[in-house]
Amino acid sequence: MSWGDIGAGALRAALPLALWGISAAAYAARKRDGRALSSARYAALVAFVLVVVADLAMVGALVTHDFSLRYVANNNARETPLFYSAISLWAALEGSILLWTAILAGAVVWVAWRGTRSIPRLATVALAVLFAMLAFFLVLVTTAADPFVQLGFTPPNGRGPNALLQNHPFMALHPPLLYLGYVLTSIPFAYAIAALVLGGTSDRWLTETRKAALASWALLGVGIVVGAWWSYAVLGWGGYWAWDPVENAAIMPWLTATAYLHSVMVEEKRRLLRVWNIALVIATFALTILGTFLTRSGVVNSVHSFTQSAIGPLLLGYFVAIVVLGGGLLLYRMNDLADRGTVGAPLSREAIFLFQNVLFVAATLTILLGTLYPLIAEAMSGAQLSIGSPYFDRVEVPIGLALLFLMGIGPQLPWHGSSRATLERQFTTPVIAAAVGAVVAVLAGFTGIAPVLTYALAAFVTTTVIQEYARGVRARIALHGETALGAFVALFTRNGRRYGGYVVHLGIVLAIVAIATSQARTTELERTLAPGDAMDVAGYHVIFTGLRAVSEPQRSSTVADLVITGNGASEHLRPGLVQYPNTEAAIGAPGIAAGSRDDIYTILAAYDGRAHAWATIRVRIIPLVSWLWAGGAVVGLGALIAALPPRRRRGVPVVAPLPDAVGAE
Amino acid sequence: MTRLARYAAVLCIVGLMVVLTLSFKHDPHDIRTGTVGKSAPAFDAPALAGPVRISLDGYRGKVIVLNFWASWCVPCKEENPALTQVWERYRGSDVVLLGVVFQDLPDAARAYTAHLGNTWPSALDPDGRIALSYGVVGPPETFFIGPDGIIAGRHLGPIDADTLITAIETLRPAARK
Amino acid sequence: MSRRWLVLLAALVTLAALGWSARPQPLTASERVDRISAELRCPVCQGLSVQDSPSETARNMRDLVEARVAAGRTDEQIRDEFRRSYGDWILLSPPLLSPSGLVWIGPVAAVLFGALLALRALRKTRAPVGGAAAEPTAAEIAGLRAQVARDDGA
Repeated sequence: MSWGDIGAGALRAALPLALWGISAAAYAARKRDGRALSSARYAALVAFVLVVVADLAMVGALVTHDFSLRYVANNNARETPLFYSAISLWAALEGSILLWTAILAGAVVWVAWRGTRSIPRLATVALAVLFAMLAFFLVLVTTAADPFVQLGFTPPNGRGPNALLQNHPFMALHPPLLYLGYVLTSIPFAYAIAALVLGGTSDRWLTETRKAALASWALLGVGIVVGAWWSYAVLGWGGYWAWDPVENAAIMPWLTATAYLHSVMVEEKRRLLRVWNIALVIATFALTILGTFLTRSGVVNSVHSFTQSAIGPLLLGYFVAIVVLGGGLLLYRMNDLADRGTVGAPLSREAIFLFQNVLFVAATLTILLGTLYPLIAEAMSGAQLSIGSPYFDRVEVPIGLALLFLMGIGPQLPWHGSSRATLERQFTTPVIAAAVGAVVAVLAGFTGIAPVLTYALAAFVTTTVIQEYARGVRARIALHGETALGAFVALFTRNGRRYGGYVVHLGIVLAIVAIATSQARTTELERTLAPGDAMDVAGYHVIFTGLRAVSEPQRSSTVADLVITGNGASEHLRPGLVQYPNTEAAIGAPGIAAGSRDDIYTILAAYDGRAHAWATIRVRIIPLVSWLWAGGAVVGLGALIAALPPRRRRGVPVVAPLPDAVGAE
Repeated sequence: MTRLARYAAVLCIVGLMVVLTLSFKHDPHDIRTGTVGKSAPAFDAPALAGPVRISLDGYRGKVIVLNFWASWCVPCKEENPALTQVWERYRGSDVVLLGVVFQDLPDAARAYTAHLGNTWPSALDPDGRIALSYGVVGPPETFFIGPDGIIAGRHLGPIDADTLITAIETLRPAARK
Repeated sequence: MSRRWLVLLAALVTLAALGWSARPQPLTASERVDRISAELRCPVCQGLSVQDSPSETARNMRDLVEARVAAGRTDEQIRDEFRRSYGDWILLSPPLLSPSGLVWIGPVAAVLFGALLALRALRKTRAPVGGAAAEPTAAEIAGLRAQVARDDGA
């Protein structure tokens, strides 16, 4: 039996299980039938095992170079190193959908076994919804995006993976993180649908899915940063974000998820915004599918665009089904869910959350509009036009700065409103810090409102966060007599959600400062040099010592040797141009020296192929860009703290878990 | 107001669906340039083969097939037989075939023409100005210029003999009038 | 100096710094080249600007922009030259005053409409604002207690 047979067989066996799971879970929810639920649970487990087997079969086929499979022949070659062979599971459309299916099957298992313990009826309906999604994906991988299509013959060698995808190890991290984030958004969605189906005004779906929502948000966020890092290290243009449709597809659900994570607190504290929160959950999930459709169906031009395939209409149908089902149910239940109270004072935390939500949603709609506008224009008037970074920068930067401002204000305001005297006391130091930040930015030579305002607001937000920690620590010392350090640690263990959230805020500040500085202050110089020549850029002295040809089994490259000194740096960089046999044009492989202050980013733009007598070297000095990756890590850390289960004080009884049966509710 | 918001949301979503459905007809790789229907940008450039210069003005009044190519471009090799056929067929008539070398080293381009036995003239475009003025995206690209000096059509990607001849013949009667 | 004056002064300093940073500055030729090429799409890339793209076409376009700037052409003339050969497609952000300028209205409308909805939600009733704390110690201790209770409880 070949890898192809195993994989194809496993997927075809999993599909009826998923279909069975839908009906078993639905029946269990309707009749409160425990046997049906346990049947659905085992169906989930077996389906998961089968899909994992299929994924492993694909990895096996890739690693053993089984070119009788079309996917392997198109995305692998004998020369491909083992590591890149294995991760080629997600190097192209069919394989990534296969990985997605496996993660989704894992989510189904999680809800089937863990979710149905605490709120059986709700979770059981959610389980049926998730089984339906799994069934859809299993249909995809057995029809339009079948990764196990056999060629009917075995070519001697395959084409090898896309050159850009085998050039950096981050390819191992970036897509799986994003897919994990994407798939986890389906858990809150399934619970929200279940809550709408069952009716009533309980908010329990919300508390049940808090972790999943946070995890999906954090994974998407970290995945986006890793993707930016990959693009910085591989694409060779010295940037990390191009407002490419695939990037937009990833950031849109992240933005709505961010809005949700905040507005959900309003629902928890004040029982308000129910309809809005469900709408955000539906939108977040729908946007993950829309993004997948946009980038996988070939309708928009993108660096990452996968080849056109029949998957487009299926994904579009899926997206329409989600929006119609979610939106229809929401409209149907709208009056039951209407808010009983009102938000109230404009200077209350809930009011700030409201404005913050408006801005996040406006940012999302703008990205959606910008991404789709070329399609709209062409459909309406036949005109071809482009929407790129100048548009997105101009529109999103003001929204981002306004959000940064609210990020400083929101946490300082109490629920229900605040008095003027309190406000003055709380904002004195932050406003002074903002002034210092602005002056420092001006003295450092920044021009233009955006970077100076960024520095002012960054100082403002950072001060408010420090103030919050100081207040928390002082309170604990006063009341529990803890040491300062003990009190600080206790903030995280006792209320990780709040104080972890502030860590996230600090990470965002770090990232935004990095973005503003690297965008405003990058210096670039390009020179054609003979061996031994040198160039000076922003205080760095770059000596070009010569060209070398490097040959590896899967690729051949030409590398320029550069010795860089100055500003306390002493680096040896080797930017190159890499030629893969399956790609016409050479791929630039930048040489990067990362630093806490500057990154030295060098590119071999052109060279004398015959005599190695000259090379055109482009040097970019990019300040603070590494802070962006650090910011991503801090955001991830903060999310982790926020997800920690709060440690209770001794003596507080732990709530006993509910009986593990459907009829118990 | 809330009602208005609800309608606006529904309207946006329906619009989104319509656009997405229509988008299937759209091919992201079909990029139209702005030059078709306008007068052909003039150029005067060194010839690939020798010390002479090639000037578009020198061919005024003729049907011009302007082909952008490069030695590193695989589909160019694919369309070369069609170009050869057209060159042989219209040689010495009121139809000229002109090549423009696109982002290529002159030596590599000369080796390419020698290897394929191409004898029609090609112009060098070392700084890419000719390609930019015609709105070229990537080779091979073929422009049809009428006797009136207006660009009548453009073909993206490898071209075949039938397409070439049809395009030329629709431009020729105009030349006789 | 009272707290209020301090805040006001700091706010003024911030505004002054912002105003100073926004002062009109004459652009050098190379800054103009950068600005124009950041707005031009590199035709062989997918969505990258001429400024960012390392491709040869982008290099040619940049050189052309440089030559035109040196020859004294205005930004508008240079952009129009590229629009003549590539159409509006070559611009990465559509001009405000054009049929495609509609795309600029979207974000403004979204923010305004959303803000209107939010303000309306706030106006429905004004919840009473907590009284100003005259003596900070008592109020603060109550606040601290409440906060610790919250922290432990959440």
